Amino acid sequence: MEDFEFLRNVTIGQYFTGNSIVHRIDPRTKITILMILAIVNSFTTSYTGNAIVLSVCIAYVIASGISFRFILSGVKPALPIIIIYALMQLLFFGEAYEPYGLASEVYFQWGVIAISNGSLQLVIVTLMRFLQIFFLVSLLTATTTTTDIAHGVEGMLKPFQRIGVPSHEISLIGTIALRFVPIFAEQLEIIMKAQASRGADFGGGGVFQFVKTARQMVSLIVPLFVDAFRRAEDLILAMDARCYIGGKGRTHLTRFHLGNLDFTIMGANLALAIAVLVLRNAFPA
Amino acid sequence: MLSTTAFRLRTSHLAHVIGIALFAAFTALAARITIPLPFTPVPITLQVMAVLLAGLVLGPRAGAASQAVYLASIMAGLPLDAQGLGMAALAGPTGGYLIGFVPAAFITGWLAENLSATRAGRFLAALAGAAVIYAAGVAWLAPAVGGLHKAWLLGVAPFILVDLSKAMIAAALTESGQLLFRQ
Repeated sequence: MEDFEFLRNVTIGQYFTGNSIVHRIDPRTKITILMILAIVNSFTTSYTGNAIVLSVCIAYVIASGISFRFILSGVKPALPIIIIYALMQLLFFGEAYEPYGLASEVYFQWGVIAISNGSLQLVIVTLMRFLQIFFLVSLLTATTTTTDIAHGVEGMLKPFQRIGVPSHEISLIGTIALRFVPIFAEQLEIIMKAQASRGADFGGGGVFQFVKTARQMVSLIVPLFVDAFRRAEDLILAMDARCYIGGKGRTHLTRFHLGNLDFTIMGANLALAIAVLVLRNAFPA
Repeated sequence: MLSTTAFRLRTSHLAHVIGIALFAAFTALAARITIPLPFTPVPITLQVMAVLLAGLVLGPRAGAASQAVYLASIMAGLPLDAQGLGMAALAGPTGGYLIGFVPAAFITGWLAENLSATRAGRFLAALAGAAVIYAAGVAWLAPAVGGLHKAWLLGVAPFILVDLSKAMIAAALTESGQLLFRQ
């Protein structure tokens, strides 16, 4: 049946109610922390630096009360491709990469295949970086509702409104686009099942029967587009009927307040980020 | 089916906003409709068609905006690319194709407006857009697979025929969408 399933295993975007400290902080604080740590993530190439950032991410997951099992289950669909990339990097980039903070050492060499401590470091650090971002993004969407994220983004973009950034529209488009994705995925499943019940032959194509797979796709494209256009039309009509006229003069039912907790956490993360970035040349490896 | 011409909106900009969101979501879903090929790391995806349609239906600016929204959500770590990797997909060997989506939608939309408003004109515009995606994709892929020639063989040559038909379908599907989003 898995030929009919799209986006089933995606854990990012699922919200869990709760009252942990991670749930309570302001969405703007969470987005800022995510951005700070993403910057640190992309500049840190050492074992030590990444271990520090990863342990901070793990601490946040523990503080949120969301189970690791749930978050890690989201990595599963991407696992095969991650393993292939990791193996390629490990085996073929051995000579190309200088290890960070270590003397270069080749463990194994056979023809074009070369495993060195440089390529080993590359693989481990890349995996750590992937996990950091994955934990942070999962945690943001698991502890914050979509509406709160949208309002948070809108609030953060508001200062740029003067130079012509349409902050309200950007957050609205983002919210609607992300809501559309699972709806379309579900619709695609329905269309596939409908076509299959009329005798269309889905699944089991495999990598070498790409002509067959292509033929299967054709019976999906047109119904999917028609349905998507119809849904968009319904949404436009519904919003228009409720007198939606854009972001000008619009107010919100709930307003966010940055409290002491937010400033403390933001400050702590900023301090950590600066420390990791400044000291990154001092890390042994 | 579509009753589009029957109503007039309070703000035409609402149709733009929804159109941008729709095509961003569509590109994300199209990433999952892939035909893996045994001989190259680049799969056939429906994404190219979604990108071309975005340009054709929404026009250059809104079309490019919809692809920018898609790209931004990948950069934010959401697993909406073909392999579900999130930000890592941009750094991987096929990241160039994703980056090419934004200019491709723009150029398709711009050419479609400035060539002729016929199906043939849109088809040519869609072909130019597809060429932009592949130019960006190959430029990115070349260092990873070792040379431009190899990148051409793995990343463009297998797809030329398929993309001719994708451009044709996109050019044919445009009208129904244009009615809705260009008021």
